[in-house]
Amino acid sequence: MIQNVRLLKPNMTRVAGYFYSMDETTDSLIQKTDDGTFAFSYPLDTPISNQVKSLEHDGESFWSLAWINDGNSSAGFRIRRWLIQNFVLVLQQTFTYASGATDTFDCQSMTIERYSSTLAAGASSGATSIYVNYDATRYALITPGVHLYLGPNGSGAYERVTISSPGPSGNQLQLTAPLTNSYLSSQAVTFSKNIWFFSNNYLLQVGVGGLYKASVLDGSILSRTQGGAYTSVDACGFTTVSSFTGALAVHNKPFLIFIRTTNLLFIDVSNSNLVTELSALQNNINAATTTVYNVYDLGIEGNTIYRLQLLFTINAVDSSESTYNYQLATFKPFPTAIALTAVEAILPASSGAATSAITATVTDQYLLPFIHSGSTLTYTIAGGGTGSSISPATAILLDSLGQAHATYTTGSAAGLVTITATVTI
Amino acid sequence: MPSNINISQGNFSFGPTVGLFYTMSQSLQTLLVVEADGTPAASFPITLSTLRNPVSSLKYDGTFFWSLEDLPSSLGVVIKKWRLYPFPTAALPSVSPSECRWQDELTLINSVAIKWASRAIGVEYYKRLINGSVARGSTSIVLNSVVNISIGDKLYLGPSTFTGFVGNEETVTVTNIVSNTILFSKVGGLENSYNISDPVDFHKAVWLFNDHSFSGQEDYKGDLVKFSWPAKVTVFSNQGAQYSLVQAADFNGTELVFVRADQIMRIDTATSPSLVYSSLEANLRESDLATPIVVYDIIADLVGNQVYKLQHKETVETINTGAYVTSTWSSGSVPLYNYQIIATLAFVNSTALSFDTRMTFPFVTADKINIIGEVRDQYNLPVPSKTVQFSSSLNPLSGAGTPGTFSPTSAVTNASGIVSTQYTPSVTVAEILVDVQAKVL
Repeated sequence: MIQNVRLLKPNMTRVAGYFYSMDETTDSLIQKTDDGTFAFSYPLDTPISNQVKSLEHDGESFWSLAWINDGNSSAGFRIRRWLIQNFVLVLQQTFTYASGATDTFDCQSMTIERYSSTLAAGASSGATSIYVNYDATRYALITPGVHLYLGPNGSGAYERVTISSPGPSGNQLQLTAPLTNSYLSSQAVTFSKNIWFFSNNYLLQVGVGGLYKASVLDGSILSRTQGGAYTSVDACGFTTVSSFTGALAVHNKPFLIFIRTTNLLFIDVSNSNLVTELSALQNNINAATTTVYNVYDLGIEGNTIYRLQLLFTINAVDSSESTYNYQLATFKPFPTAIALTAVEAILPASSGAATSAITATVTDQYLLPFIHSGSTLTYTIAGGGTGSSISPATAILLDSLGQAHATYTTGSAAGLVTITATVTI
Repeated sequence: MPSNINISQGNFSFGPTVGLFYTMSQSLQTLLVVEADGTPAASFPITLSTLRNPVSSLKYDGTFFWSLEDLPSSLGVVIKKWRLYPFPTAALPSVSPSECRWQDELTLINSVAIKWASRAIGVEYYKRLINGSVARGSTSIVLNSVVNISIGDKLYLGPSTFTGFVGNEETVTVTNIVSNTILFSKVGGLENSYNISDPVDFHKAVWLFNDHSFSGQEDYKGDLVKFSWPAKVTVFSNQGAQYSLVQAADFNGTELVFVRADQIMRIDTATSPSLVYSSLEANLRESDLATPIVVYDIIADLVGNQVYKLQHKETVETINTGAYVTSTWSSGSVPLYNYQIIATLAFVNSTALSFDTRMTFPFVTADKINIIGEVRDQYNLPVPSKTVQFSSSLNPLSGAGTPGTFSPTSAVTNASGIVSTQYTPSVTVAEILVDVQAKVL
């Protein structure tokens, strides 16, 4: 049994150690801990009659996606923004995407493109500008009208501000209204830029897949990108990855991520071509590797990914649950596969007379070489008779390509020789 | 968990006799009274009216009972006001009640303006005390407070403790208020004499949680409606889905207390009737931590820092093991209802853990895991100064191995309810699954 958060509905987001899920039966947002303990719930001020398919939190607001009609996915959907106010989840905005003359939507996954940083300088109550630590790429996204969410300050206060213009300094932002609270340098700031949602359809073409970008300010669709990879996407998220080291550190940046069959795919949305930059293998598949498990939603915390599922396989044991629970995954590279090659692969059975160059390549879930200081690989062999051996027989340090090399020497017996490689981290 | 009142109706209230519980039965057309262990104590047949559907909410304001039931044929709902009768008066002392007599009602019939669907009402009533003894024949009384009393209000005096008038009750209508003195017009003045601290009750309004708004549709947008009483006109209305699907409610002090999904929420009607100012998680899930438990009625005892929740099921946490157990009560095929008390005083309700990573390599080559724990109470507020002990064990699905260690192994929550520790993995090189537990001592 895989029972942890035990949700009744197929939507979830992770905020500050808690799991949140929206329940259309009770019109409430529930808050639970890892083991499913009920911590709290917030009634909605506006009823939602349709099941929420996707739930996100952007640092300030909760965002939900639900179909217009639960029985008809192609009728369209609504994305709503909510805020907790006085113990009630209060609706702030509703964006309706009804299928029509331009698009036939079929969507159940969305995320919010958001960026977190800190204040570069203190800002006092009444100030009409602030300084932020965003890099140039992210700073360029803060255009007039963008809302920034500041806080908490030392008193635990937050506030939403609206940008009137960037500058004049390189990291300065002008506000449309003076600050209500005071903040210190290094206190948190965040902003949301776009909504991204995946549709099985593109424009009016059914089943071809589409990735849509819409403004968080008014919900207007800003771009549509066709791609088969965008079909059957039930779970996605937006996060800034920081788990890579060495040469892979170039991938430490914000990504739109989504689950497509057994892969977690990464798109750098700052790249106008929306190239899928990384793909990480997931284990949402049964032990026989014949059935892919649906992932209903994602929660992200640090370099941990929480996949919301009904079906699980752990240590080769399949199980199913009546409630939705999470299975963990990580952005952090870890070894998932060892590819072995032998050159030559067929040798005469003459003791010590022939050799084969054995190479093991260890790859991580990104199918990139697994590079981790001190990691070793050990070969063992079976078969081949007297003299059949491998050298070195001791642990070999993985090189910068994630490889370990050895030489196999034939023995006296004809037959199958099995070489096994075991990686030790 | 042992049962207590074992009633077969989904409504209950306190009543005139402290320590007893009152419930109204449609099948028996009776107000039943039971002791705290369910032993029948009394029953009063209802008169001058008939219950046409089960009572979904029963309230007691110190003088009157109030019931809420659906109208037949889904026409709406009706609120009825009852009183145990007869009650001792100067004219008819030394009597005891034998019936529960209808007094008044408000019928809310579905219309083009609104559909009525409600299971929860709160009767806005107040209790005052006589501040200095007062003799029979007097035309004024001094109270400890005249807050919320208006000219024209009816005040229900008694039972008296004054010798010669013990147990007697009477009604006066306010004609003027001077400081804390209430003036009234009554032929012959007071019928009884009263001692200091004898009770004076009065009611002002009935609050009703409707599933629907004033759209004329079954929209589940919710509305909290206040009807003045006895005028029975709408004097306040506030729309919001937080008022829809409300399971139970009660009025206590100046607060409207109601159960909505997993929460017991509170509105201070004296200050901000449109604002929920408090919300506590009310232990309303079965042991699977998923299936909701319904609350059928509540009694709010805010002075006693507790709320009685009437339920058909309850979940309790086993001391020491922490295991949750859900009990269901019935007698044959008849469901029974018992109360579960929840404290309004803050106590530890949840501990959430955040990890900078949840996957690490074995000791020596490993990153350590930084863990932050956050302890909150049932109001979702941080709990400071609590010692949290960290431990780890192999998950049942794990392969063989040894869990890691924590440094520190325990810590005290700061003002924000936060503790932190660091986990160092063991030397086990095989892949293992480790459960991390944070226990509040």
